[in-house]
Amino acid sequence: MPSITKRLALLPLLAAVLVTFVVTAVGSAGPTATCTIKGTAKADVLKGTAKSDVICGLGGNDRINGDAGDDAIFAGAGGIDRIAGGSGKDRAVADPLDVVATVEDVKLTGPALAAYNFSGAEFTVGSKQFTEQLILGQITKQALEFAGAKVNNQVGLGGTSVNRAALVSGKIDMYWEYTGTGWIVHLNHTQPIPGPTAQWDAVRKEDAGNGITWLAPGPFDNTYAFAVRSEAAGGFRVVKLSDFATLIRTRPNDATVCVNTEFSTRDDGLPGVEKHYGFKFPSNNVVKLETGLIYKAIDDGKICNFGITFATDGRIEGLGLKVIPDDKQFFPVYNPALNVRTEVFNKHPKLAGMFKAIATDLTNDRMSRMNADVDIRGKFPEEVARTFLAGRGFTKQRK
Amino acid sequence: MSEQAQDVAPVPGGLGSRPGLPTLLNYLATPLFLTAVCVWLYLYVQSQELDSIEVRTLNQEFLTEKLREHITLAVVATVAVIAIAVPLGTLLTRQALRRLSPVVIGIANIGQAIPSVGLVFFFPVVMAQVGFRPVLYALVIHTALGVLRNTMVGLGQVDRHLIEAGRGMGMTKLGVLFRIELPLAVPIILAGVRTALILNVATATLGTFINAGTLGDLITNGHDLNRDPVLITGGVLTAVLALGIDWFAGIAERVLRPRGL
Repeated sequence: MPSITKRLALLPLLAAVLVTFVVTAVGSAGPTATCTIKGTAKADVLKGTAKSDVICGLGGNDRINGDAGDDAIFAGAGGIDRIAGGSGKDRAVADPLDVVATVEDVKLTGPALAAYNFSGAEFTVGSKQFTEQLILGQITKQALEFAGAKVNNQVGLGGTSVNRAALVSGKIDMYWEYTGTGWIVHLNHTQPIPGPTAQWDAVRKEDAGNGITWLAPGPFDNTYAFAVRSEAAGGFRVVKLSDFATLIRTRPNDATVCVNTEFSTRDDGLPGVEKHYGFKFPSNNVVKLETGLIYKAIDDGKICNFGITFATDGRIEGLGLKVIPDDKQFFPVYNPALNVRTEVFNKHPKLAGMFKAIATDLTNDRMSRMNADVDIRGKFPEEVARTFLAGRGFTKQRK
Repeated sequence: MSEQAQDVAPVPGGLGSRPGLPTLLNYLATPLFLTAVCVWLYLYVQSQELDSIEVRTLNQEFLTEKLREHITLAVVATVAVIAIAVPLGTLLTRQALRRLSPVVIGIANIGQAIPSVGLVFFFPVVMAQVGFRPVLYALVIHTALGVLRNTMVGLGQVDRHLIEAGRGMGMTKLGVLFRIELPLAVPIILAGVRTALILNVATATLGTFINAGTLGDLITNGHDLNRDPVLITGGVLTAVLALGIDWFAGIAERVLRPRGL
């Protein structure tokens, strides 16, 4: 709590400095040198004219309306300003707490999560046990704590079904789930829905009936991916999934593949891949291993030459594995989205905005790198999560 | 002997625990119960609408294969354990080698102290071996101690007077061992074997993680994909198998036990 108040107290000062800086920068480059419309005290009501105005609301709690024209609006300086761009291409520099509408280009000053205040609230955050989930759980925990909430840490709680059961029964309030997993495992469908948005929409609508709210999904896709050790990749001439057909026909003994039990029976797993691509691995060449053992087995190449992996796993980079592209787009999408109990979400609807901002920032590259930071470079998930939140401007001023 | 024999008392539901009941019912209670459980399982699975994921595992071909893999593993592992532990236990109770017994027991203790999951994962990770054999090794290492210890305890509790009487009658040491000591130790040795058998049936499920199949395939699959009929079938069949095999072992114990004991 005290750290938040301290940060908020610092905010006006910070914003003022920034506004001055931006005003100077824009002023020297833009058509107008200084503010054409300027508030003086607190709680000004400023309205632009039909021209390209530069409106500076100083002192905080201003109501600024850009009206027509391409306006530049500098709200800044603390308080909760209400900015409306009006028509035209407007730019604004605002605090995260400001209410901004119809402005094309908004630059936020200060940490992005400063816009959220969950002080007094208490959340229990769960996660699955593998690296990526530990990082996502930590990001969630630290973001909520930054916003002043008290967090009961259940990060690393258990497997998929354990987290789901805990969420449904109210033992935890939220955890990150993948759209494809929600659809096939929790909602018991067998066929995935093509397209990230359609899949998310379908799972969100159906799961609403179970009292679970799916927040906005992130762009990274932790789907299945066949991989091979890079040094051997060329020798097998399998550069895309459809090349397996030739390998199986000409050198069946080399077409060995490690999968987990689950993958061997699901429609969006091996049976589906074989049907979609029109090849079939010799049944003796399919080795069923526990997921964690597969990466090493592919790297060794003694047990199997190929294997199924998860696309964002850090071990792909760490062991130097090569992912074989799914050239006929078979695998469904597994985008991450925070699952929140609807009861909790209704009490704190602002969770949606906060985790939309975070999820949007979770790209394939960033997630893979964070996973490798833990799996390969030996960092702790807590540390990786903290670096992400600070480095992406959620808990610190973005440089 | 300071060591305690493992599970000398008959397992509940096993044989010989209810002398008051008619013998026939005593024999048939377990199979009747297990049959009832299987019928219930069959009716339960039949009543479910199975989706394509469940159908891939809940079919006769798959189930027969998994049962076969499971039984083979458990039985071969137990036979191997008997072949290793009973002669070893006998040797270690002979006068000349008795000093070594704490060392061997210590090593065997380590085998049992390692979690079975660790043992199952050891061979694939260290020796890049998967399938039947590494699981077999893991099971043997894990369950050999019980049989070894029961063999030693069983031989140790034989009344010294009987051995002396045998020697006095002019029997050789070997004759005393095979005609007096081992027969009298059979109940305790077999109690250890039954425990090993049940442990092996249970632990064989971990074979699923390293390409040895077994009913563990159904358990992990049903759990990972949240398909209850698959999970329940795997779990119930494993339990039925363990109890069924224990029942057989009970009969074997009764047949092999020396008369008059």
